[in-house]
Amino acid sequence: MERAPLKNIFASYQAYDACFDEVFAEDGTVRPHYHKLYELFSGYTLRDFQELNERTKLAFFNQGITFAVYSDEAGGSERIFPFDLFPRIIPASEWSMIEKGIIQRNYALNLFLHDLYHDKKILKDKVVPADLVFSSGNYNKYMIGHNPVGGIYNHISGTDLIRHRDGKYYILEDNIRCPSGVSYILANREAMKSGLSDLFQESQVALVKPYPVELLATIQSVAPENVDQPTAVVLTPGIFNSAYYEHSFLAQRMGIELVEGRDLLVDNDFVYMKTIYGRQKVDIIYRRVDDEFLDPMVYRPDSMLGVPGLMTAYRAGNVTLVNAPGTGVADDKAVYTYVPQIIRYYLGEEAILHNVPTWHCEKPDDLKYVLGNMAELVLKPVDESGGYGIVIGPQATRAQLDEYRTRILANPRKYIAQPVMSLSTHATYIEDEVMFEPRHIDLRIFSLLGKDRHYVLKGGLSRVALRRGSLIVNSSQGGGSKDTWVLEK
Amino acid sequence: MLARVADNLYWMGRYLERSEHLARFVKIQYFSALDAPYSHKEEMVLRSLLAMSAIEAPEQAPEEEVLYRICLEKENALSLCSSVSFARTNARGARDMISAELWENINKFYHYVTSFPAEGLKSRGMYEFLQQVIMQTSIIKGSIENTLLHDEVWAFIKFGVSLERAFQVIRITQTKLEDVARIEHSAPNSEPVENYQISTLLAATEGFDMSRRYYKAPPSRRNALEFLSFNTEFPRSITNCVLHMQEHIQRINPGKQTGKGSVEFMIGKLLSHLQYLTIEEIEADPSAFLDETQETLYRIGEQMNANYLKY
Repeated sequence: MERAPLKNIFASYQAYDACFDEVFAEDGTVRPHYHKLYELFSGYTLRDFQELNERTKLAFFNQGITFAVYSDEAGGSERIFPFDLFPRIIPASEWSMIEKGIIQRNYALNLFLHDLYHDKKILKDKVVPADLVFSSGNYNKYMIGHNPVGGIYNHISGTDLIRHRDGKYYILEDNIRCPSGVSYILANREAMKSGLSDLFQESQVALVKPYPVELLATIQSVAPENVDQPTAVVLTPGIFNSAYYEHSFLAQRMGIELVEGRDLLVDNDFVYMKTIYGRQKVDIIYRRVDDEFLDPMVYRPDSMLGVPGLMTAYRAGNVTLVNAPGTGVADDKAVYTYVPQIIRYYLGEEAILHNVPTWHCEKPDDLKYVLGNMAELVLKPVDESGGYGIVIGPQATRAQLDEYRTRILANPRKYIAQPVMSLSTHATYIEDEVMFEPRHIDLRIFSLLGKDRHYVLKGGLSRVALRRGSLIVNSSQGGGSKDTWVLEK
Repeated sequence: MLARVADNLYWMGRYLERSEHLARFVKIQYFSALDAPYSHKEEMVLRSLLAMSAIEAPEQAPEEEVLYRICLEKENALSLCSSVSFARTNARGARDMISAELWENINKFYHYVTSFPAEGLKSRGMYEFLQQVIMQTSIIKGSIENTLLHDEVWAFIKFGVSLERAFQVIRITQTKLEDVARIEHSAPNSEPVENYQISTLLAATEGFDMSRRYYKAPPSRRNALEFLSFNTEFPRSITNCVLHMQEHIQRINPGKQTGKGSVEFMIGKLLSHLQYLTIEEIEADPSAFLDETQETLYRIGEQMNANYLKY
């Protein structure tokens, strides 16, 4: 058993029904872009693989690449972000479509944000309903009329995609506030290179290493005007934040200071950091602190993480915040459904990457479709958040659906409907079972938008739902990750 | 460099040094007492461990409990385990300033200490545990020396190490002098016991072999005191620590503000005092000398905080 080649373990591999499996086609054959990898894996024994898995885990643990657990002080409860040694592979042709789609989306959302905080043309033209925007609670009144350097709001995006059973990629969410996870992409790659070095010699895998350099260039491109040698910093909530590893990692790789709110002060609308030799002016802040904690003078007064007066300095144009405050208005769930229209409105193009299709019940045709197919759809009120008021058609009773039908008909504007999406699966090494099994995965892609520049990290964080059948990929709920290879050709 | 980061580096150095000295003291004191030539050993050893670590325990507390409190108790800020946790927390706060190698060694050290099983500490694991602590601090110090730029980041760590070492040497010396006094009180003219206690003092400061080499004579109270107070070449003497503090502060402050009341001034003054002091002047009342030096070092620490580390 122990000397059995891995290939045999795949023999019992049973893909889920009605899901797209990334590695195996429906007839059970290995998809072409996985051929080389599959052959190489076949040369390993199960014991080799187990040892490799243990070594990799230990390396993560010792490096302190650990996640969450706020009771750290009590000790012992630190966990690594589980990492799977079977990489996800994205062929060059698929990637080039994804990359174009991400860039298109970033530019459109940026124009949307600028419009929302200036002329609001898109609302006046009724392409996006105004009350949708103003009722979201994410519209930031301190941003009205402000012109960020270079006109850029969403410098850093973490876009979540899934692959549906039809084999197509769909955007699930645009994260343009403080997206996290990029350090795991780089750490996963390092782990793969040291663990399975011969895999890389066989494949043309795009580099993920340039990210910190691109990030620094991006944030420097939006330095306040007339600053010769801008000083940039990373602002972290502190060592007890679950993403602190990432904050320190990025600061170190960019060669800039990692500061906490208490290290900064605002004087005469300029921001300074407190150094051992006195004050030093700060020009650019890559902040990993949420909007509402940034400045206790304008947002939450109880915030200990922010800097009093920071927003005044920002509005005076003396410091750049990355991302700009108020971007949350463009990545919430209700606005998401309008992104195809937003792209069409500003760029005059069709969206390259699909949204999850959405039917707006206020439109007569959509309403007709929704009422005829309720049992297959997910039904949602547009103005509720946190999953409140959602009905999942296939799981609902006849009575529930009838009751929902009455509600929709009473106020069709309030409701939208979406198909039930399935996440693709990927062969994943399951420690407890000592074999490879299919697990659901998604994909978070990191991209940058600066003044006259953009960049998409060629790779991504493939998050894995490690529990059998689970769709929940979050690290706090038993999610892991995979190195993600974008092939160069 | 940020004042907060400097503060993290400085305290990282101090807690690492504190861990090492506490571990060595417990190891030497406890294990050498097992065959020591005097009575009431157990009670005396425990009292002396508690005095050195400043940890409290109820009267008549069992040995296991005292050792647990000193080595492993997470809730006690003065325990060895807490000291290592603090070192690691401070290293984390300055993570982007130090090398991956240094950080990983500190992180591994932290996981070793915090996950060490409490059961059987005394009967089975303690010697290995203390030995590991001493060895791992030594590895970490190697990383500090060999993987960092010797710039102000390094200098803040080293300043913390030197200052804490001076405190620890004073504390260990005070504790052992008290032990000697207590024995003399209960059994006057017990020279072998005094010699034994002095040997322990030197061993607990890793100075036994070197003092022998230096004096070419068996250890005596006078020689040990002189060696640990004034020897400029022994890295664990008070004077040597202050010499290094001076060297590090000059790297931190290349502007050389040496005005009255500055850290630089205070260190210079203490160093001059130590360099011209002789064993004859302190041997009658070494405790007064140690107290006074400790007080001066405290004030230097406070000034350091005010001038460089406050944020």
